[in-house]
Amino acid sequence: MSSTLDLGWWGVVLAIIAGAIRVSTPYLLVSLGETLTEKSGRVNLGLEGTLVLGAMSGFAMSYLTGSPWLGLLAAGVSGAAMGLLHALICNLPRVNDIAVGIALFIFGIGLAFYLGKPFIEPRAPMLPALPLGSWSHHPAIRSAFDVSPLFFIGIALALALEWGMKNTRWGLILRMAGDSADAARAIGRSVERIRTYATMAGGFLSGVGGGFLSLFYPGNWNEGLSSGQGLMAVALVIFARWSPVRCFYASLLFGGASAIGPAVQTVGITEGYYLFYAAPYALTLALLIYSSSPTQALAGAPNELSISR
Amino acid sequence: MTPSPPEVEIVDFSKRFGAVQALDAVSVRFTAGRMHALLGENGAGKSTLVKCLMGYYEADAGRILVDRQARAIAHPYDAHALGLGMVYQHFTLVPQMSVAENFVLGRERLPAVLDWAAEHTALRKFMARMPFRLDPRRLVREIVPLESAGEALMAMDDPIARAGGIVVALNEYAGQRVGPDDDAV
Repeated sequence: MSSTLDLGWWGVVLAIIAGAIRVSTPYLLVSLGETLTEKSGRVNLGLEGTLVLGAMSGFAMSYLTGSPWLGLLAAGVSGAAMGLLHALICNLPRVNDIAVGIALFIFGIGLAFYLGKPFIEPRAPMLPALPLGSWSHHPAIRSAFDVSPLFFIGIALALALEWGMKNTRWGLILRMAGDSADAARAIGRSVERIRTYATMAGGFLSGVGGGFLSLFYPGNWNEGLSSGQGLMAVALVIFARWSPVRCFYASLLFGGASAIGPAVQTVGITEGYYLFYAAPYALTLALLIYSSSPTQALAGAPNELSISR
Repeated sequence: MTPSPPEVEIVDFSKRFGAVQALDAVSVRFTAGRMHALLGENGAGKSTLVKCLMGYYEADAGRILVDRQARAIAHPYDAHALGLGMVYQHFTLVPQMSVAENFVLGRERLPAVLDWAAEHTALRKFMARMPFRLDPRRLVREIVPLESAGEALMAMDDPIARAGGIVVALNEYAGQRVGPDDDAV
């Protein structure tokens, strides 16, 4: 840690930037997934459970097969399965998607802890990083810019989703299901099927986000792995007004906020750093208060969403 | 130019919703080029009849003849392919979407990737022949009950008042199928 001390307060800035890049990825993947699901007219509050189950499945698969990429795939598939479960239950008449989400939140975490017990001790192969800091001789800078390819995949995905929702067939149909189920039915689209696919896709991305946690950063599996990223990502979707590109900016902001605590600790501030650890949660609250309005409905919110009605 | 519009006949349509027999062996013939009105009090089954014809519901029993040929209409697309369209009692538009997006969604075959420049041009050309002007980019929050304009048979489910419970089934002579799909480049 002496290298960080050498950089002085610049070390804090560097750590926050590195944190923004590193910690933002699961926020980004989960919030993109939730944007997809909510655009189809359903809320899946269970993504925290999906994230934790994805982290466990990804780690276990990487440990058992030796391939972190297979692990990531397993994380996504387990997430899609959770999405499918949510969708199938919500397709039944008179089922509330929020309640189902909360149930699956608890179910996912419980299942992950139950199945994940044997994987707490061992080490599994990790996902590789892109060494973007190799131009520097400074080890702190080098490690700060070891960026996961998933970060760039996330950015590409955000751009693709933003474009795709406006310019492709599936984008229009997805938004129609989310804005007017009647219109979708009138032209013969199955709203249930659209929402099932959208919830599965959202679950897949959240599972991959969990795989990032266990296979890249922090890069292990234990029961305290997620600090509520899956839940905060849902709040982040509202803050980003259901726009994938704004989800990316918001994820960077949340990632940076999460890095404040560890960063100030490395420069030797030992008092009150727990307060800094609370930064992302405080930020969530502050942003939701800031973006709320007593007079205006949430702009950009899909009309069929249970929270819009 | 399409040939003359089809003659549509409904034979012995029945439809039951739970305990309610909405339709009980209903037969109607819509002659081409005529305007027909279905009159009845609320709950008489006017909407159900038209919705079964359009493939929104599936009738429990009965047949549909289009130009005296039996046709199966299990899906709104089937109705669309036969030149049957409907303006629903409650707007089936997506108010949060633009005029152009709503028009495009009404098509049975959507291209995987949309060419919005061409769609907007086609829509403007279409509207030049219509007694209204709308910016295709504007969001639909107003009355545009024309999503299936130019169909050979257009069923209007209470488009005027949306109160009195009148269903007009209109078999209009559409000499041309107007719509953004024809003009699309």
